[in-house]
Amino acid sequence: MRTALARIRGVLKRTAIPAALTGALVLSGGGPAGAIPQDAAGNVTGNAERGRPMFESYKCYACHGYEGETGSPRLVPMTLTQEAFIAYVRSPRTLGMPNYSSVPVQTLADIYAYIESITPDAPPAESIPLLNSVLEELEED
Amino acid sequence: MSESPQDNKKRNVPRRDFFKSAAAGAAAIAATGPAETAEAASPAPARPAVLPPTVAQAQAELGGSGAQVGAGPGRGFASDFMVDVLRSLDIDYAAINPGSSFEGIHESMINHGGNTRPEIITCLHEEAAATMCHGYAKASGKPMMAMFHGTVGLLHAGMGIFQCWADRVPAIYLVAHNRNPTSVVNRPHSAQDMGALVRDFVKWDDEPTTLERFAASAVRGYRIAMTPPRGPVLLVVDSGLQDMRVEDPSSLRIPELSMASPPQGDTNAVREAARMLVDAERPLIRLGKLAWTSEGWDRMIELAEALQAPVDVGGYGGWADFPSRHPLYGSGGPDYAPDVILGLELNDMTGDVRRARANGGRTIGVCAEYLFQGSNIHDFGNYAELDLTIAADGEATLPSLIEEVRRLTTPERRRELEERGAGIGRAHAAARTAAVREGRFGWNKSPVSVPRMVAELREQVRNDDWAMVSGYQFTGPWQRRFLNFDRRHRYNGDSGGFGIGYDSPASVGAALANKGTGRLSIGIVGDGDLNFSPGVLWTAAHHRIPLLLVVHNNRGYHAEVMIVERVAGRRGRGLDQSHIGNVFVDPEISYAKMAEGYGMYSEGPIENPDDLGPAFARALERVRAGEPALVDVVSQPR
Repeated sequence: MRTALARIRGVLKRTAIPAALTGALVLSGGGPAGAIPQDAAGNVTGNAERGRPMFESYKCYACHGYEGETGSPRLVPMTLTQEAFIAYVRSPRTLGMPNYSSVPVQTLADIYAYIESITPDAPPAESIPLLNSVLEELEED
Repeated sequence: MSESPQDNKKRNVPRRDFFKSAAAGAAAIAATGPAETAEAASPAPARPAVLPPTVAQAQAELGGSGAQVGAGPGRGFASDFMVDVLRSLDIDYAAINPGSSFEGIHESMINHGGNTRPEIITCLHEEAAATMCHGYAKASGKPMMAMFHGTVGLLHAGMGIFQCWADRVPAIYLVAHNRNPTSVVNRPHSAQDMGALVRDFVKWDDEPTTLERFAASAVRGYRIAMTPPRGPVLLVVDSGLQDMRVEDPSSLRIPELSMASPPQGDTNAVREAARMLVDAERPLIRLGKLAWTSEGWDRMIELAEALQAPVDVGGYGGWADFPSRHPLYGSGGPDYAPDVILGLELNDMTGDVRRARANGGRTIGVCAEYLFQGSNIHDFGNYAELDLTIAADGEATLPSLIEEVRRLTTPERRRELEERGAGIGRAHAAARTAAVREGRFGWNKSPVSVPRMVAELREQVRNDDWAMVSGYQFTGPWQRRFLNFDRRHRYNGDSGGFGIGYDSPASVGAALANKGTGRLSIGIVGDGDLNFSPGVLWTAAHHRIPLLLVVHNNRGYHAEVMIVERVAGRRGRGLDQSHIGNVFVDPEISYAKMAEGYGMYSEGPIENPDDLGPAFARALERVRAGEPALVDVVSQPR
């Protein structure tokens, strides 16, 4: 387990997308918004390593947790296809979700790849005594 | 919580005996004699670099009325009578940050009242004082008071007063000033119309100009505060009036408090509401600020069961007056499209109207706020086109509504309703179980997940008579998923005005109300919230107020991160910059050290979730022994 404070420092202090990564986007053909057609979003190959700092830079953690599984809605395990994910974040249908239509498709594919790479930290509820005791109470009700 | 404020309807009030404790006061003053004598006999001190002001100079600078000069100990100070008036109203506590304009009452509370009923609660900021009253009243069922210095203190208190008003909670606020200011110091602490500073968010204010009027205004103010729709009231008191000598004590009288019965719904309107609800195929009951008493809580269960209708306790603005494990707790399940929505003490049903009409349905609103119009902040914006509007107190209307529902329900209809209720119960049970299972995600993560934090807490207090005295705005649904909110006092409501800075002082106020009742007070407060009035930690420690404060330390205003992110998204720029102004990590704040600095037992910052249970256990040991404790939990944003 990484130390909590180091983790928060790394995420909350991030002031901008690292320049090196911006360069990587250009090199990988990400380009500006719209450079890749929307219907091609499912065909772009994402890179989880590049996606992680993007997940943090675009503040996904504020609602979804630092690793996508403690907020609401939960992102891990990801249930959308890459194409559906990119379509949604570029044109969200809920009031709370920011619009990421200006973010390159390649970047969104990288973020998607990062989310997909996260192994859920989710033991079965029955194996967690504190949760199991709540479930038992509900059974009794 | 006091079970019923109606118990206060006819209180025996002390009348002409308000000077009876003057002897005690005189004795206290006499007791100081020897010390003064000793001081007088001691060698002359070295001449100070700056001479103290003469009485005349002090009067000119501070603007005292002069009445206290040379008055000496004795009987008949006006502020003594004022304290007796407050005592007649059964006010147990007065939260203050001191101010020279109310020094007369302050001194009388100490030396005439013996610092009991009301007992002074020392606060380090007026907002904390005002907000303590807010939390206290909801937990105890009766008002507490706070006193503020003219202008400056009242302005500091403004936010606390506003949230109390927005939450429709009674409080007795008193502000003092010098009505005839004499200097550059007291002029800014005085005003031609002091009440105007907060009139938009108090229910009533008055500046009585005589002692008789003070008594009448205080008693009247108490009644106004406690009559639905409830709210804070403000008494403005001239410092000169406090210092007056009373020549003929027998001429003063404290009026008898006569509480107003709360407004009940019109008989015909209630009958029509009952008919609509009994005939409905998919009724839904939605709650706002409904149950002021545990009787109201019980009546709400009766109504839901009589109708076999789901009860949605709503969002952060409500008081969640329904048991969280009741089969009817919820909104009916994913496919439940209500055809009649009953709103009880919901002040905005615009969304309900939209939702019901989409299904060809209708809406009913019972709310005391329909009786209260004209505020600068209240009556504008959304207008709900209700089908039946009942201007009345929801809790007071419940008995007649229940009676009508029962009268209209035939045995055959009863069987149908029970069948519906059973289906709703099954849907709710499935949703409840699934929601608990969600808590496993991120279970071992650091920073600590919110469900882990709440589950660890539940484990430690499940055998206590606990009371959650903070709101739940920043911990989402997890408290309700894991903890069994089976009684009225389990939850004390949220801020009312959706303003940050409520949770910490309101938790201390509610814990003060719960002190000595056997209830274990718990507040889960945001780090952002605590930073608005950290001094309240000292107040809790100083007054030995048992309270477990859990700091949900996510090091930022994460709702605002997303709000700025949304704007940036709409504008197509700077999506990686929205943390600016919204997080506080450089340097990081240790709330455990902050609490320690204020003299409160603390644990943390806790980063490893496995450390949480033992930390809670150690802190709760202190709380159960009668003192406050704080646990600083480094947490996920949500």
